Amino acid sequence: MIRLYNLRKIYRTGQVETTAIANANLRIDPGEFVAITGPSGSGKTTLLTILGLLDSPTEGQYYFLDEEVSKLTEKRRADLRRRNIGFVFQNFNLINQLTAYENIELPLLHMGIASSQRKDMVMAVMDKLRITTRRNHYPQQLSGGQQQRVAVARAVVGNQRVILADEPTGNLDSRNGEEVMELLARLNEDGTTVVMVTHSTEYASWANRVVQLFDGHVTNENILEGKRSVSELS
Amino acid sequence: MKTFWKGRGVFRSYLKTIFRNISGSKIYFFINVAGLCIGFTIFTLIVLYVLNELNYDTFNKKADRIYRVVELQKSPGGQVQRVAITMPALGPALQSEFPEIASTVRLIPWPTVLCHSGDRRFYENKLTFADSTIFDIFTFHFIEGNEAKALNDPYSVVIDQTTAARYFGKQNPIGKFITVDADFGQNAFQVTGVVQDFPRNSHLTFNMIASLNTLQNKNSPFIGWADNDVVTYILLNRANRFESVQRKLPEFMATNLPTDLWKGLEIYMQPLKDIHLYSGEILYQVNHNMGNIDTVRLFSLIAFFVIFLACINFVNLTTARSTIRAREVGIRKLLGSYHSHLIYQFIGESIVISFVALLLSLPLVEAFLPTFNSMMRGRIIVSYDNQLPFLLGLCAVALVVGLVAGIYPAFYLSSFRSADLLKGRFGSSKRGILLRKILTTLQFAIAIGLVTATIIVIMQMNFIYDKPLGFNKRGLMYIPLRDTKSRSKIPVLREKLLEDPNILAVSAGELTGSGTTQGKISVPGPGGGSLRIVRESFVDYGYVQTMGMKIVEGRSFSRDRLSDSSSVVVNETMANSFSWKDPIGKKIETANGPTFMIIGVIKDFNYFSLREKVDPLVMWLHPNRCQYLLIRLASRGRSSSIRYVKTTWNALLPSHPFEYSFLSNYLDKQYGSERESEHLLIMFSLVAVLVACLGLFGLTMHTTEQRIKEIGIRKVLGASIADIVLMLSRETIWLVLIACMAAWPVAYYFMARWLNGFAYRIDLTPLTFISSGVLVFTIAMLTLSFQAINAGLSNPAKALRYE
Ligand SMILES: Nc1ncnc2c1ncn2[C@@H]1O[C@H](COP(=O)(O)OP(=O)(O)OP(=O)(O)O)[C@@H](O)[C@H]1O
Ligand SMILES: [Mg+2]
Repeated sequence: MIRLYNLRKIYRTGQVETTAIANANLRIDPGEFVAITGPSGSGKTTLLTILGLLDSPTEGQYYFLDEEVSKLTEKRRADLRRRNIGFVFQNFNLINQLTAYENIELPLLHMGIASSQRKDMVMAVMDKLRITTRRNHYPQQLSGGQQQRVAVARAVVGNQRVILADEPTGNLDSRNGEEVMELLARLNEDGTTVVMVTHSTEYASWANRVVQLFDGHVTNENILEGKRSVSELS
Repeated sequence: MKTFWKGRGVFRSYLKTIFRNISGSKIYFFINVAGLCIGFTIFTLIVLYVLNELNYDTFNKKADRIYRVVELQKSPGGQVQRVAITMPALGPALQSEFPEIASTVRLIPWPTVLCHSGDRRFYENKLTFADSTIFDIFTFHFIEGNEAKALNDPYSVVIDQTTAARYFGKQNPIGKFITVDADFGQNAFQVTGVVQDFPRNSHLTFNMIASLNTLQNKNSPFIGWADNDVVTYILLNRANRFESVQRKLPEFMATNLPTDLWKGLEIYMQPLKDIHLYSGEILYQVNHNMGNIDTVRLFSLIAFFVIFLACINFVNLTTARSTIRAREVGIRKLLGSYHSHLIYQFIGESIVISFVALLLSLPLVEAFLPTFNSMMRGRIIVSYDNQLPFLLGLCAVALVVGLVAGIYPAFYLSSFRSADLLKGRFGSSKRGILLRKILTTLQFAIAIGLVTATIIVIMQMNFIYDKPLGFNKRGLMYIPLRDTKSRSKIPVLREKLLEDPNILAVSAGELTGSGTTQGKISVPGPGGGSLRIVRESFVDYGYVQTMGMKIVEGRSFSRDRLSDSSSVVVNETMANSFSWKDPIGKKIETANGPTFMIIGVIKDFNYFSLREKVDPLVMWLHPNRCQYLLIRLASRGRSSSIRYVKTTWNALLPSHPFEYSFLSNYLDKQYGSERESEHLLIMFSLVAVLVACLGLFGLTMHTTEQRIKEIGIRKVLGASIADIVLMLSRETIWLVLIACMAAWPVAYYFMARWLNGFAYRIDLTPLTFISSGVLVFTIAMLTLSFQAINAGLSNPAKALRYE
């Protein structure tokens, strides 16, 4: 699903060059739940923007669904992203002027899905994530946990194959954090590939693999055999 | 593009965010729309005015081939003046000499005369004598009568519909008579044609056109080469013959002119379409509602400025507010919007706003048009027949404005990267801030430039109104003397009127001493001989005293000296032009023979307009050619004096309707067009400053919102309100200073040019410029401090809880 070879990302700000990712090699297969950890400034977010086709690497190859995508045009990347990738952010990033329902519907609009079908899809995902009652609320009227659930719903409503999450629990208390993790795990069990950046070893333990970054290098990859599962929790 | 419209749903969701955005920040939306709306209102009004001005005389079907003959008169002193009158023989001579000339016509616009038919009597001020070719050249629509023959015979007259109705009601006017009480006696003119009323957007106005050959008897001043008293128009075969005719004119003048009479005289052809706007320097013309190309240009510039200022507001506010929308852009891109779609959408948004503003401006235009038009003395004629092209034109302008205002913000907004979403928050880019500063400075510069121009115009106008004219304009009543009969009553009128103790003096003569005709004089004997063109003024005894003019040497006309009928009084300019040491007793000779002696020199006085220098002037004692009865009233008991004048007049001249006015009113009318430009300029520059301030208000509000946290922290750390106000205004102070530096030289350049059009003008001092800068600065600071003080007063605890 995702393969990186000798990937390098260098930011230039005036005279200063920052190597955010130095020579990363990584392979993520369909259905995996991968956690990326590492100290602040180690390049986690940068890696996620590249995986999410929001930015292109300075060097190296990136195969997404067996297609080399590091040199694609912005338009082409937008197309790929729209169909395959969902994002969840630490600060939710919902559009404040749209209701919960409209926010979730947004990716479907961009995919050009007919309105009756859209409605079914949105209602189904809202149902699944237990936010149906909040559908006409604006983001400001929702709690952090609810907002994040709306964001997760938006990330998967179009049956995207990959969810990229950057510290999805960062702004949430532990109860809400747990709840979001539970959602991601359940989606993963349904076959969605999940790549999640987190600081917390606790949440990282939900993944079946942990990738550790340090100063732009992948320093360690632990396969977690005893992965926690949803069934275990309940 | 097809993918763009595939997303009808995307579009709708996009509209939703726009509308919810608007309701979330109503004030910014209001500022954008209000600014553009004011811009469109001013723009539309000005365009209506400009179109009217540019379309003068164009209704004439042959307008491209019609020219007016203008004379270039060179005085020995080297001064050149242009006059729109010519010798009567010139037109026919041109026609017989040049095969390129299809036709010529001579016009003599007649001074107001009393006309009557049966018991219907009216003063007519649009009677013109003309060659019968007038109908070949200018476009008339005949309702009755034969166009080809109407003016062939003497004592024929063609009248317009309104005039026909006035004299004859519903009867057929053809063959009926209208009697004209002209200088040359009472004469009955037979109506030979009725035409539709002549359009108002014409430099000529007629309501009665009489045959010119009526006036051309043997001793008439309207034949030959001696006098300069008819307006000549030329119709060319083809417009492209202009060059060849113009080139041959000097030679034509050299061979045809009796040389001694009009030495150094040149002529040129002025295109009909230029007459209305490009005739400011031409004297002796009868331009109805004369326009001025400088005013047209100035107003067009203002229209452009006001819209431009509104566009700047739009760009500034949209980019400043962009941080608010950056997240939306990022998310939309993340979810798969193409960059280009977002650009279309943002441009679309600004075009929509532009059209909303245009739509709102239409009722405003409708509401303000009457006021605007009355300020322009009713010169705007809105035709409702064919509004479509005009409306389409406005839509095109709205489209362009939407594009211009939207294009930068669209690129700016759509360039936000969704990768930044992961970084938490969006910093506003330096590039945007710099652009905003530049645009704001530009706004200030335009505002300062306009205010400077306005202040200078007001100062110059006040200077002109207050300048001593050389005569006393207050309390001088006048009554037009329109025929021989009324003129013959001057002595008895004077005698009777002076019985009222509040009537101080009575005389007759020209209204402002100006003289409406030119004459040629020379000095006999050795050293003289050189011909001078002078203004002629015909006056009665006591004229100088009644007008309150001043004699600097010699004396004025006196009833006690019979010889005064062969004496003249001249003005200082005339005396100086001959460099006489002692002008009294010098002799001058008129073109047709008699010699006159100078008995007095009068202090120069201004007539007509202070744009013009004083010309040499000669005053003759000639009661029979006096145009006005002049009555000097005391400041007390005016209304009873006026009543007394009226009874006296009616008793002596029962068939002459009584009409009167005051010299000060007449003079105010002379400056009317300058006054009207002045008022409009003040109004427009205020609007421009308002629009600029609107933008500043929005920007400061935004900055204050953005810095509310900083302000809170500073207050907690002990900053006073004054510190906060200073902090928020420091930048504006700099911007205004830079704007002043940019605006002043430009304003100086243009206003110095404008002032050069006046013979008497103020000097430009630094104070004028500084005061305009201070004024704009003060307005800006008032706008700013309102919010700065508000922010300074706010509770810091509340501010810190923000976000
Ligand atoms: N747009 C940018 N321009 C320049 N340097 C950048 C940019 N984005 C990130 N960096 C630098 O790249 C390095 C990696 O940043 P990144 O945001 O990927 O770290 P992170 O692991 O996500 O950190 P955190 O845990 O604090 O979120 C840092 O040193 C950062 O300063
Ligand atoms: Mg990060």
